[in-house]
Amino acid sequence: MNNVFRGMRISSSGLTAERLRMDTISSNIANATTTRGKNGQPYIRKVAVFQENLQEELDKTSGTYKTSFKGVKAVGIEDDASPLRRVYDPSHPDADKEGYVTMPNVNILNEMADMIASTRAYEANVNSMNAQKNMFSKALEIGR
Amino acid sequence: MGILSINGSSISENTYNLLKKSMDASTLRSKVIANNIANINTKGYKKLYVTFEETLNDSMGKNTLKTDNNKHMQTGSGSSDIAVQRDESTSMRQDGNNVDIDLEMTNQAANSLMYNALVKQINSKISLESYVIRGGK
Amino acid sequence: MNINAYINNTKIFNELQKNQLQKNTSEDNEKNVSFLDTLKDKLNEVNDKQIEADDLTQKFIKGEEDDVHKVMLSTEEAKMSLELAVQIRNKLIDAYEEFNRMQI
Repeated sequence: MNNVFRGMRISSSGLTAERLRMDTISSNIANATTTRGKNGQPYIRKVAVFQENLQEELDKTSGTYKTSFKGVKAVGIEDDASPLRRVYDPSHPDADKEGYVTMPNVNILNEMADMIASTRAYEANVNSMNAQKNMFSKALEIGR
Repeated sequence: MGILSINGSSISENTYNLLKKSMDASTLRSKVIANNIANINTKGYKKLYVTFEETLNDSMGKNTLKTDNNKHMQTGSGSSDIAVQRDESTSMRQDGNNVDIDLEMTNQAANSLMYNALVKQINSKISLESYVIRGGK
Repeated sequence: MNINAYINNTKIFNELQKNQLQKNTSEDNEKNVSFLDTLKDKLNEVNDKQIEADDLTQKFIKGEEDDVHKVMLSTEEAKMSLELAVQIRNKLIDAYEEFNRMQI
């Protein structure tokens, strides 16, 4: 497809990445107090990892390969390595011998802040794409 | 071969045919994207896409036969250049569906803009021809 | 106020006018010969503009041209050049017909 719309596709890659981040944030918020997760461990906070999407592309005019930027790429969803919280609650079924329960390392306030940032980033990408669409449409009005 | 062959220029005629085929591809692409968007939650659905521009470079280069009469067969201008193919790549989703709503919406917008540009170009060509036929009056 | 300064400066204009007249008379002698060549050159240029517009359009469809405004501008330029050429042709034909109507 056309290189003319490369800018729009770059914005769209930003939208996809932000959508993935929102998914992980929602998962973190929903599982903020899950003590029985994978392998019997409490839920571990997930983080979406992004990478700049550079690709080798065959340049049609010169016939050589050159790197072109294509926006952002989601590399994967990885676990947050920060330590789990220990909360004193002897009445909890999963409390250990001293009465402490290991809770997930999810901080709700951080997640809310991330959510706002992700929403704004999504809107910014949409605005960027609309701007490019308008520019193209205006170019079509040349001479009319 | 179309009214544009009156002026005898095969370049102009090639462009006109190319514009027509490109509009065909664009219309088909719009339908394919709509199909992808409709199937966004279908389990196991793999998205479809239209190939046209990539096949163009091959057919316009070495495979076209030289023609100097309108009645000669034109190669490389058949509608077999436009094809719908399936993208079998995997995605992060668990239901096996690899449709990305943002990309599809972007492609839909881009495709509409492309279609508008093609329509403008064809209008320009046709109005120029009719202007010359009228003699500018 | 220094009015005399203007009078001194008008000498420059006189010089310019003399040079202009010399150039015009030398052009007039060649004008009848080169009109046809000029016409042919300009028509070739109009044709070149059409070819350029078509070429850019093809490149745009194939995906080799990134700037849509270049394509639109080239099409417009080609259209305007052709329209101008057609109008000039009309004027030439009118002049010829007027010429024919003249009674000797």
